[in-house]
Amino acid sequence: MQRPEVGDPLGTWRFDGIRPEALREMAIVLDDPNPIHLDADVVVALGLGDRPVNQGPSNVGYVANMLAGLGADATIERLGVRFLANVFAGDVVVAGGTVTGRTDEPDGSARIDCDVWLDVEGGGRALEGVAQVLLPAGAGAGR
Amino acid sequence: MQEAELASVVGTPFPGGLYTIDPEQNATVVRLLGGPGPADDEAHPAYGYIATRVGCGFGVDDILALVEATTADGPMVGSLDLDYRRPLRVGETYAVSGEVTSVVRKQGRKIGVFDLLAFELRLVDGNGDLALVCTQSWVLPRRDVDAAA
Repeated sequence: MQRPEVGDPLGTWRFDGIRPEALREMAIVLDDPNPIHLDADVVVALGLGDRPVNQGPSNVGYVANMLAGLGADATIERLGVRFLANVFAGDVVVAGGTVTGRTDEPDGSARIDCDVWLDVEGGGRALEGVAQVLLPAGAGAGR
Repeated sequence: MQEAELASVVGTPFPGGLYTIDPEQNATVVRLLGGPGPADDEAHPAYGYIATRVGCGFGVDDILALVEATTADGPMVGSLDLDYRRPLRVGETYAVSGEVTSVVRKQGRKIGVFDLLAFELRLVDGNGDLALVCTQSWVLPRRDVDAAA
């Protein structure tokens, strides 16, 4: 794999496994009793929609999965996002990004700066942000 | 909580605690998020949020109670910034600490009046090295507050 250049798109990552039972399992992991993740009736009552709302940190996790496409030994150093809209159970999401900067370090490693996002397929943008990923020396050093 | 009282919450420390990234739970998280799993003994990056939030010594209800909010208000995460100083390791135990950094009352087109509660949480590994800084904000709708007030 060649090292990405500024302006290069990152590979997209698609996920169709956002199901109510997965939200319930994640609520246990997160120790998060917020009923908007568990009960569609609450979501309706709050005027947020008609299906359980996916946990925000899961949406960030999908972006991290997309960044893993930069290489098995790539290390995420920073991932910062702003949530723009809810993702609901049953939605299909696609994470993507664009390289905005690359710093080649003296030791042969490279830091990649990216704009990142998560879209709901057939819908709008759920989050957007920035990431910094370290590619170690020898990883994708084709350029 | 009245708007004038919000500033008194800034600086409130979290009780803190210890959090160990359990291998089986890490595998569950990787599965729930659809993988791929990180290499070797690295935890999924989502643990930057999970370990700090769960290990901070406050439950969700406790955090909301700082500003007299509840889950019935429909709180949501507004922003999340994960600054990894080193990869998070499965099986590692981290000390968690942090504090409230800001609370401001705002008004949004869709949700009306809301409070934006921000806090910073940190993970320190067993060697005493800072492993992660997590800053985040929560959106807390205030349906009981008059928008014109």
